[in-house]
Amino acid sequence: MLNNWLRGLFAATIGLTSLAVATSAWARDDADRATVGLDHNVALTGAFGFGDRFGTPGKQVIGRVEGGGYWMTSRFGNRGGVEGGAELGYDGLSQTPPGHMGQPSVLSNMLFDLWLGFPMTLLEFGEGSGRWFTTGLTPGMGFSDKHLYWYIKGKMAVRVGSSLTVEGSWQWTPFDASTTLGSFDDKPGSGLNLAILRTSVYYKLQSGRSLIFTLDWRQSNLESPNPAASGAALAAFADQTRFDSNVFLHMDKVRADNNVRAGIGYAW
Amino acid sequence: MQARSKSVFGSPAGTNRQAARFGCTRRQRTKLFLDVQSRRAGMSDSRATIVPHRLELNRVRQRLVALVLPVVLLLPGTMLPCAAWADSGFEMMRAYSTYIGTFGEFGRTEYGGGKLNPGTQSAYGFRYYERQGIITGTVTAILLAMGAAQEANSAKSVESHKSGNYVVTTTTYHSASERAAIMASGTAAAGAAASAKDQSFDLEIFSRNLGGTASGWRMNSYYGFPFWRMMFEFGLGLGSIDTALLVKGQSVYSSYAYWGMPMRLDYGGEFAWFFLEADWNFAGYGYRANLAPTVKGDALLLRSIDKLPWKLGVASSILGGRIFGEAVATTPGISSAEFAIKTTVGVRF
Repeated sequence: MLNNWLRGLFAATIGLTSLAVATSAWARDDADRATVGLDHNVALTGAFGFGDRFGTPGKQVIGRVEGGGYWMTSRFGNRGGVEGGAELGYDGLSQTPPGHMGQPSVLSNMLFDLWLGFPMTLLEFGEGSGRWFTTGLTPGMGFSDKHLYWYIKGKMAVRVGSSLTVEGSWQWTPFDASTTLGSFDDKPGSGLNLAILRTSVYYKLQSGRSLIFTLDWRQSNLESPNPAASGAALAAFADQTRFDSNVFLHMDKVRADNNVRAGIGYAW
Repeated sequence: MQARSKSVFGSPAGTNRQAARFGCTRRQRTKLFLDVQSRRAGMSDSRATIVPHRLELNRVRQRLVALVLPVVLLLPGTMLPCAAWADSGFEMMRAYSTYIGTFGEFGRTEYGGGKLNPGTQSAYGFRYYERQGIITGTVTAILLAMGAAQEANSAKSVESHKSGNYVVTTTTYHSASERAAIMASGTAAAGAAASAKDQSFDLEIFSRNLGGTASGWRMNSYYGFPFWRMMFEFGLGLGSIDTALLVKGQSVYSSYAYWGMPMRLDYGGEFAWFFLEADWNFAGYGYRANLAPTVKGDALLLRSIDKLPWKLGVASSILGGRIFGEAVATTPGISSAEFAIKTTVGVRF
């Protein structure tokens, strides 16, 4: 899955960049409050999605608004703040998983997603409006038509020339941090293991605002522990120090999303 | 013994009343159930005897580690020249601090079967922690602002009277000046909540991706009231954690839910931080809080949620550049000699 190799890259990047201190804590001004790209606080985007869910192809049309700002500075010069957003749209992908696993979504073809995150910067080059490189990390929580979830997002933005900014982000919700809405009465409950890789290009207009072009790649699994299948774990149990001999090895797992979203928008 | 156990413990419908009738506590009943189930699972004699032995060894080792590790972490701060690396307990309590890292928790925990305490936890996961941060205040401010907006725009009074064949209902809404006053009051309260200095937030995601026995998440958000070198904190806690253990060869699956009010009394020492913590858990009330053990496949399912699990703890940390290490030892009772230790290694921002 998308997660497997990106997780290592993510951890290595966070580890390395967080050790450096490239910006003075005292050199902040209003231009440093931007959480969207390198220069903006609010963005409105429309996106068209295609791909498959549970192996059945379909399409999506989605509107997204997101925004936020930094307003705190740590003693290391990193900044912290709040970001949030909402998605609303038509979801033509399949809502019904094969087999006995419960349907995650509580809606049929409507899609919504609300989230609230707390971004912080890790490493930056340049100050104020001259900032040309930033990496950051955002823990957050969300609520969609499919699940309640926590997420962690890493992002990196680079200014290219005078009018282009390229931003890449990777967002991950592990199964453990997701509870699907359609499975509240099932024990043990099911969850989504969801990863989103997004590339955004900001083209700065003369007004100081930007056009945005985005491309998302989403992959998810619907997972649920299966205690009934733990007999194999008992058979494998020979050494108490082997922590892997438990029912969490025995997951009912099915591929859910594997799709792409292309969008265009405007940032203030 | 086996025939009696089968009638009492082999049924998913076993109740406290039955346990009382047979003269044993719930905890004893679970232990007996585990004994019976391990025999039923067709374990060889050698496994049935070796596994408990290993469990005991693990518990002894664990208690030793729980005692020794905090001392080892405290020593550099108190005796060695690298004392500057250690965070003082008081600073940990009163200064801005945010870190993200991984944690491991070992030993007796409230989410691993509650008072039934079927076995030893070894949980791993990701942790986000902040003191004097923004999350608790922001979420509270959003709720206060939403409440003020709801109050300002809802009906002030609704009166009905009968007039002939009709029921006439008169709804009165707040005037413009009243709405403005309510919103001003709500905004001021939201602003105060968001900017409160002594607030903290702790999120743990127990990840099976890192191994261990637990899967799920738990968060505590606090407002603090400092006095002298101490602080009283309380707030909101939520969580949902599933644990899977092997006890005497029996697969035990425990389901834990948490929503309630965490409370802590902290004392910031020179190089350590002591606390008494009680997490009042509203999920511990009601008929789903404590269910009789049931069998699903080869696993024993437990649900035992304590209403007010409390613990004494000591925490010590080391800060080297941005790398942050913390060890916490807790005990659920002074005389129980049962410990849990939690270690966190992360990056501080």
